[in-house]
Formats: sequence, structure tokens, C-alpha cells
Amino acid sequence: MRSLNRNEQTIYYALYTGDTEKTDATLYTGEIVPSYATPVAIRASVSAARGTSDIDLFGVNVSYNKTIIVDDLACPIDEHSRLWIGRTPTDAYGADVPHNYEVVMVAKSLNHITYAVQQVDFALPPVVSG
Amino acid sequence: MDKLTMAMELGDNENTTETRMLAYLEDAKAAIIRRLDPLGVVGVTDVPDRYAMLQVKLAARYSFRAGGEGEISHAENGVNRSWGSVNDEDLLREIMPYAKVM
Repeated sequence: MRSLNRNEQTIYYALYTGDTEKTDATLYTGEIVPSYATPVAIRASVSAARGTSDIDLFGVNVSYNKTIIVDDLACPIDEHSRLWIGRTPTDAYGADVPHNYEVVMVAKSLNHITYAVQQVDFALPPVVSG
Repeated sequence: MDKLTMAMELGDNENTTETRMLAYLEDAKAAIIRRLDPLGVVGVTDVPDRYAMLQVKLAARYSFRAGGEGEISHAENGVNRSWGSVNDEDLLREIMPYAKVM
């Protein structure tokens, strides 16, 4: 199955490349920082919002998902990847913009790959005016 | 305004490159000529001016359907689309074929 071009939009993904141990003056601090590759653009069919929102004793528990369909079976996105949907990895000034979605599950079929993604709350950096 | 510019305006220009739209225009031209001169005896080689907009409309429609060629319905990721026909007969029936006494 091919994905209908009209349903596709440009999203960006960054693949997880491994952990690096943080050092302080050549001494290991014990802190591990995950590293990611440079974000890559891909065209994919992104669904409207799906998921549930439950009122809990301690507030509102939101599990808010979208699904993404990619017809390229060689697409390397996996559960460790970061996604930028509706925003670009760099802003107009060239600064890095945090990702806003993470992959929760990958479902690969004979014809396409479906990704369940979850929104992560990273605020956009403040807009510098003037 | 030339056909390519019009087709890019009317068609799905966010997802379509000019090269691809040119291919759609050529495809539409071939479809119109096939209908105008089905047996190839009149020798039509180009789209007459009166069918220029029809060629643009066909190319725009091909562009909208990219990825779903040959389908009359397409369901994907919660979005369902359906089309009236596979072969764009509704547009092509506007064409009156040329005839020639044999």
C-alpha cells in the first residue's frame, strides 16, 4: 500500500545513538546522557489526536496519542526515537527546539509501519522579540 | 498564465513538485488526445486550446490522487477518501472526438 500524498505532512525524527557517560575533569560523574543523531525530515501520515483523558483522584491523567503511518518499510524510527511534529528541530534563529513527541510502540505490517506516539511536555523556548 | 502555473495553483502543490506536475500534464495530454482521436487517423498531436483547462483540471486531479492511483476509495490513519471514478470519465466525456471519412 502506498500512502496518499495528500495525507502526508513533514515531520522530523532523531535516532537514539547511545549513552555517553558524563565526565568532570576526566572523572566519571555517574551521570549518563543519551545522545541522538541529527534530526531528519520525513513525510508521513499523522493522525488527528487519539487517546483518552481520565479524571483521577490526584488530577487529570492524560494519555494523549497520535498514530503515524509510514509506507517505507525501511524507515529506521524505533521506540527510542524523538519526533518533532508541527514544529521544526531548529527555530528561525538556528537554536535547537526540543522534540514534542516520543514513540511508544512500533507496529510493522507487510505494507506499512504504524507508530503510536505520545506527546511530551517540553516548553518551546521563549520567543525573542525585536 | 501557463498550464504548469495553473496546475500548480489548482493542484496539490504542497506535495507536488513542478517536475511531477509536468509529468501529470503530459499524462493528461495523452488521455485527451486518445479521446479526441481514438484511432489515431486524424493525427492530433497536441491539446487544442478549447481543452487546455481540461488538461489542467486532469493534472490537478492526478496530483490530488497521488499514492491512490487506480483506487476509488482510500482509508488511512482515520482519514477516508473516495472518488467517483478511476478513469476520470466525468471530465473526459466533455471531449467530442474528431472523425474522418475513410
